[in-house]
Amino acid sequence: MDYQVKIEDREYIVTIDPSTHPPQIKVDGVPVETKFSTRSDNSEIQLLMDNRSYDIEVVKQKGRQNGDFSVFIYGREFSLYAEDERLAKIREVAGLGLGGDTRKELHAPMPGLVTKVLKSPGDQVSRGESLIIVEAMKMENELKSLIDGTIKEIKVKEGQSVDKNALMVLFE
Amino acid sequence: MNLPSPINLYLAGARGSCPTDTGFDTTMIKKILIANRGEIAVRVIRACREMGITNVAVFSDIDSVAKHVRMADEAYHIGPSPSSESYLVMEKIIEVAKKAGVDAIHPGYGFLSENARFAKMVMDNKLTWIGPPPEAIARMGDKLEARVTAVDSGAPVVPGFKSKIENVEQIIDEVHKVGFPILIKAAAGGGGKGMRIVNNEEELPKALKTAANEARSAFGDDRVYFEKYIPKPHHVEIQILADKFGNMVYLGERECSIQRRHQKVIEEAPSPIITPEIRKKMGEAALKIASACGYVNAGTVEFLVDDDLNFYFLEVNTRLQVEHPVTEMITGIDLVKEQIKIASGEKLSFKQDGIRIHGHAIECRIYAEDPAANFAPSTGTLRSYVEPHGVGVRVDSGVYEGAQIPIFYDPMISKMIGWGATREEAVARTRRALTEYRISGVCTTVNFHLAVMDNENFKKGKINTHFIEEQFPDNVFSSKEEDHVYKAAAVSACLYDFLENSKLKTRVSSDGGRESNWKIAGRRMGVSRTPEK
Repeated sequence: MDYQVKIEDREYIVTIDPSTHPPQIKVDGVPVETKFSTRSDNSEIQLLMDNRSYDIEVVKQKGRQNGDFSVFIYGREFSLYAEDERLAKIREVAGLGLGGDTRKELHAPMPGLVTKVLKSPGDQVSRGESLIIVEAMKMENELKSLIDGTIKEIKVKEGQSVDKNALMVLFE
Repeated sequence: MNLPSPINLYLAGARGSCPTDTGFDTTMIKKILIANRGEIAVRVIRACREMGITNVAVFSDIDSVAKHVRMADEAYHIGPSPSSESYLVMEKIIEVAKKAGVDAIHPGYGFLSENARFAKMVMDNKLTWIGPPPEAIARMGDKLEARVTAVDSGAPVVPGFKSKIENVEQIIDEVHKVGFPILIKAAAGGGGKGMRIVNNEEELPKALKTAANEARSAFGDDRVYFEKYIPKPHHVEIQILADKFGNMVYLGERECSIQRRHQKVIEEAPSPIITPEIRKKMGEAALKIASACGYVNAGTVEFLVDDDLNFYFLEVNTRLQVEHPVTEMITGIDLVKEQIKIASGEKLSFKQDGIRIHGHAIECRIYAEDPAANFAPSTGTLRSYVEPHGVGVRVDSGVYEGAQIPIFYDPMISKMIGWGATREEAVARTRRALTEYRISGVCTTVNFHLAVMDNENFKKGKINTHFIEEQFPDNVFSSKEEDHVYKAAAVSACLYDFLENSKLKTRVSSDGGRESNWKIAGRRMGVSRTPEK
């Protein structure tokens, strides 16, 4: 089983061989020596990889697409995208790039009321620029662009209530 | 008197082992109601337990299984989840206090802690209020009056106009004397409401009007005043303790410059910029202001400090602060116990020259917020919650694994305080402790704190109130890890997916007899079907 993984600006191909027990693992074609044990639903993994020890929790990101994971190591939370061949196929058919192009979408980080839409389709925006203001928990929250890019579509209107993770802006 | 060494204070084992070190006379206060929730309620419960005082918690609907309720000796339901219908309902809290037969009420911070009317109501009901006199709360709660008090007591204030502004003509000479930019502020203010920066004379009339309008709608009080605007100040505050006999001490300062939305997120003590001479000057100024308003109990006098170490009075917080632990860690003084002792009429057991500052402490407030989305609040259930431990680490929290982070209250999950003999060690220890946190289920600010601990300017102590926007302009808070960490993250996500999928397959095949063949066929088709164009 081959997985393509994208984590921040890095990409890996992780191969897991199901025919051996425990499964043999390769990263970018190079075998790595691993020992692991898991707890409960496999989300807590104690991993020994080339004798380095990691205490890891893997969580599927709720409300996001398949393949989006949060991985907790050393107190840090990493957002990463991992897909097997089946997911890759679906993605290719949909004509999307690796990583599910999650950064080409802006989702609502919390439920709230859209009080202002600051940009329109076709606008060029840079990373950190405010796009939409959502009022939640009596606070105004500026939702900023995570990328430099051009807005393709804005899916919400001023005065509209949005659920958590609702798709708000699509980039080209 | 012999102060407990800070080393003993933070080593958990030493804490409870000396119940007589306070010499506390429990004939005065035997039972305390804590009119709060979350970590601060837990903090007060711990102090009570060490002093042999029975503690009573109160809770709203959603907090019925909250940590403070689980830890308390007794707990009473006080209403629905919104704080306006529970934690803020004064009559209800007094009613519970009487029913439970408590002697005193500790308000924590937030909620009713700075409500003079509530303090008075507590006292009118013959209960002891663990906090300053209502008159002092009222006087310091009004920013204009607080400023007048500070000026009268000789404390430096930011140059400006100290009474209500009626019109532009009235202040224009003063404005020119002070020089632009100026800051217009609301007398009843807070949270940035009614605040306007004015860069030149043309902007002034409009800014005065909008500030007054905003103040009226936010506080029902349109009085505004102005101050010189200090562009990149440090926020430094002095902790004070005062007993009922006029004895007062200051316990050094806390640097609270790292803020988002004008709210503190990282605090440390001592400040990396304050010298012993300035500390003494600020401490003495703080005590003068406190005496001028008849202050009793624990309080904090906040100052703005510019790069040349000029300091200006800002305001007085008439309560225990969120960041009080950093002071406890470097002085060895338990502020909550001192509050209770003062309220019960004891004299302070130490004098100014008995207070020693030992080492350095840093507090990280872990919020359920998404730093990448401009610190937007995040709510939900804590899927996992693992706290750091080890030498020099203190965690004050009001949650546990599986607990809810409700939308009704402040989204702070936990406070982590790292102590070190030097600032350098404190930073390294805080970073180490942060790596031991594991909190999933909600977004948290742990990544943000790690990125700050790795920031070169932070390490050098170069911080001011604009630190976050200057150092992290694009809201990306990723501390760089070594290659192998990314690789391990990649492998673990794939392993998880692989193991979960094989579990599914095993399950399908092992209970094939009970599973509908249609379902199995459908699932297979779902996997192998090629999409039609």
